[in-house]
Amino acid sequence: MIYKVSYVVLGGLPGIIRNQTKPPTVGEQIEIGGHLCEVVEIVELLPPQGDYAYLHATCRPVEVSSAE
Amino acid sequence: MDIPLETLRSTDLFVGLSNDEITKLVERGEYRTYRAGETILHAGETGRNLYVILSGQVAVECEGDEALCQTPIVYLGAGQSFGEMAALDAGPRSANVRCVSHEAVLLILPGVLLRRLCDEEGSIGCRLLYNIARDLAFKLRHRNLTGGGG
Repeated sequence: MIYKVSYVVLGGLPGIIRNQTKPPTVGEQIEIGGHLCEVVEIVELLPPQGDYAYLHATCRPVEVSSAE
Repeated sequence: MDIPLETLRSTDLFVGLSNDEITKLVERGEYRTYRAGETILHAGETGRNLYVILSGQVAVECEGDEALCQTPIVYLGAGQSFGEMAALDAGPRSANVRCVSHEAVLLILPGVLLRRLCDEEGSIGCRLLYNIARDLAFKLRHRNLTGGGG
């Protein structure tokens, strides 16, 4: 199965569209344009067709703590 | 460059095509690797090639006032296509596209191929156009979900 996922980031950062062979999961962290984001919600955007599933994932930016 | 067929099969553009049809199409294109920060397309320029991302991420950025365009419109990752607007209507490129991952491997297909396939091999041409239209619809849905901001 191929998962075509629309990731939208809360707070105005740009999202990403990408295909992946595993579905996204809540709590998973992904890198979007150099920013680390955490998936907070996943919904089906369109009904599956053939080998494709169409998902929408909402993410929030992960604040990386400084070790300085 | 030797790209596995399963990687090509996971791209939206090739949905519904047989392995033989995909191989035939890929033979008419070329692979290219872009490095981080390298610009792939410039807004306003002419060109009808269609780009398919096989790995990596690119940023789609608007043209114009730098202050307004500091944030990309959207990032695109593996399996996505871009450049389809100019490939279809021969107009100028509508956005800048830049590699933002360490590297990005792209398949570049000549846009004239689409028209030729529609004329000469209708079933493949029709499928490609359907896949492009479906992908554009998905991008529009993504844009709607972001409130137009990314």
